[in-house]
Amino acid sequence: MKLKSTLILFFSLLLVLPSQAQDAASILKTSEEKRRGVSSSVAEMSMTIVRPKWTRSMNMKSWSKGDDYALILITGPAAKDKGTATLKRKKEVWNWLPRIERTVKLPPSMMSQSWMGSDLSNDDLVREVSLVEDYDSKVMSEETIDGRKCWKIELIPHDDAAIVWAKVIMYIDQKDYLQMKTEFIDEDDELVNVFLASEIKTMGGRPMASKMELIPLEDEGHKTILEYKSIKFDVPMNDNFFSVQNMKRIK
Amino acid sequence: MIRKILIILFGLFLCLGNTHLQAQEEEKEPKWEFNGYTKYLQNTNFINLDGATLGLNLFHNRSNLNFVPNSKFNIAVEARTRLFYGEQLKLDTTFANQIDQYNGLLDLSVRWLDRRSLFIHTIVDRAYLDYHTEKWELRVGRQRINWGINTFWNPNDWFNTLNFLDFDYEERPGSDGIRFQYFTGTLSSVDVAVSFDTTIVGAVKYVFNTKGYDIQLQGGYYRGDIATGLGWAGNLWNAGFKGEASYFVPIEDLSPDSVNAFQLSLAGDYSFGSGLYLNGGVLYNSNGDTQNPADGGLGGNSLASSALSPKNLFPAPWTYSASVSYPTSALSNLSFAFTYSPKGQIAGFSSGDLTLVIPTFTYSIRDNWDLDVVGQVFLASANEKYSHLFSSAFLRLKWSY
Repeated sequence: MKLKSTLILFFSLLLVLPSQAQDAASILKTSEEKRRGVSSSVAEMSMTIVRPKWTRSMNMKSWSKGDDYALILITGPAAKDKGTATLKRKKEVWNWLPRIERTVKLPPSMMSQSWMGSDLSNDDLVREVSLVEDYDSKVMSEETIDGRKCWKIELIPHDDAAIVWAKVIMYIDQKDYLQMKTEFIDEDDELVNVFLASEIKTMGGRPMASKMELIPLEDEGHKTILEYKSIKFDVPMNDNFFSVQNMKRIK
Repeated sequence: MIRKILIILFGLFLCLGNTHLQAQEEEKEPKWEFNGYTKYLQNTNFINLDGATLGLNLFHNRSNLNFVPNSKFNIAVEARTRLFYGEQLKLDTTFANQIDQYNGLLDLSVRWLDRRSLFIHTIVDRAYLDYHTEKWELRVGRQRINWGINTFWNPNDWFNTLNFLDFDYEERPGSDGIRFQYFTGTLSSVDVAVSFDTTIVGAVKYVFNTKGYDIQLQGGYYRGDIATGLGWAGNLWNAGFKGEASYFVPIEDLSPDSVNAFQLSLAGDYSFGSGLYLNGGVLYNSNGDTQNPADGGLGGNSLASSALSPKNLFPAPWTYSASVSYPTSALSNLSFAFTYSPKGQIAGFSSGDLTLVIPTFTYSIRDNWDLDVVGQVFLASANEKYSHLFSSAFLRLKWSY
């Protein structure tokens, strides 16, 4: 009896290391699913670019389904950007430029470029990467962020993944699986960007951070704020919704 | 006469608005959309670096009106009004006629004032009705049919080919025609378009996506020629790889342009995380070395004209292009574009290397205010000696609404 328990304990100890990797992946998966509303989401949001001398905002609507499909439409306030839309289907991305009535296919390398001059890259917006598929992850420790107990998870991107970071540290809250804080670390082991979540509210029937900030550490006084005005989850959406013709037409 | 047509068009808008207001109350509310911009452009031309400059000033308004009675239907009317003054207007007696050119079915343009020191001109370059369902779209009237893929040269853009030098008119003139698109899938469609200008262009385009490539096949009739085209947009590793090719075979002798023509434009682009963007390409023009510079070749400003033929995109057999663009801040961008054409056919020169340098600086002053500084420097070399051919400098202030 005692031997049996000891054996079980021993085996479970053996299982700790591999299962921790598994755990991190499942935490990330749960977190991603919760963040994205499992199947689909429709949101209205604003992005504000903050610089020491000026602040600029942009409003947009977004539709997304899983990791593979996303559509973003700029709704203002700058008149010249209004109607510009971005479509993502799996690894392919297109832009619709209404002024010249042309669809432009973006090179894959464009994904890591700053999006509309912000501190966010196209990657951040259309989420080309999958936390579970493109990274190796493990739970490092536990920390409290903004009064919430979090898992501290280290993510190392796979060599073949189009990710510019050498390492990503993510703090995921243990109650609601919210990504409270993410640190992006480059190849020189320097902390480059910090992603902070705050103003947790119930939106679309689930708890979520309605405000997110991306702070590049190299530039003082710089940050990009993303705020959700509304969000709906699990809206029935066909894959066909994410089409080139719909990108041109969406309002 | 034209004013009457304009009034009728806007009247039509209002009438349709009312009927739909009554008929489709249960649908989404009818909507009017109005937007556009006003630009001020100061253009200074340097013909001889030791001589006088030639200036042209331009106030340019674009107003776009879109009436959306319901989710399936919309009517758009867009007008471009320009007010010109400056030395170039005074010296060039053909200026007003060059501006007031439109080959469409209806002459929807007005010369409000046509004097030696002031010229005011309005043209309606879009006026169409659009009906669309999930599966298809029909657009009738003056419209832009943009089949181009590449940034610099578009052999597949058979309806009002883009001219990258004419940067102040990226919307391009419209074509008077009918366009029917049938969406066979999320990334595939069949497009049938006919435009009735002084000559007819009628073509079918089939677009599909395979293995990460958007591919388009085109065929049809282009102003007396049988035309075929192929285009693609995809990637090689992380770089974009795009191409367009068109082949024209005359079946009717409609113009001096009635010769076989093959145009191929290839381009690759790459973007670094820092925002640094590189684009490199090549254009092959089968008629690039046979044309008579006097009527088809490069003659300074005419290269930047709005009318460009997809059969003769640049006056040289081979032209190489490279551009580099970098966001100097979140509000500003600096770019340099270069083209190099060995054996360029240049008016006034028999044949020599032609180099173009186009520096562009853009700055976003506020949400709706932009400032651009653009240069276009044309250099020619004959007998290994480079000489300045022609340059233009542009300062542009733009207010969008």
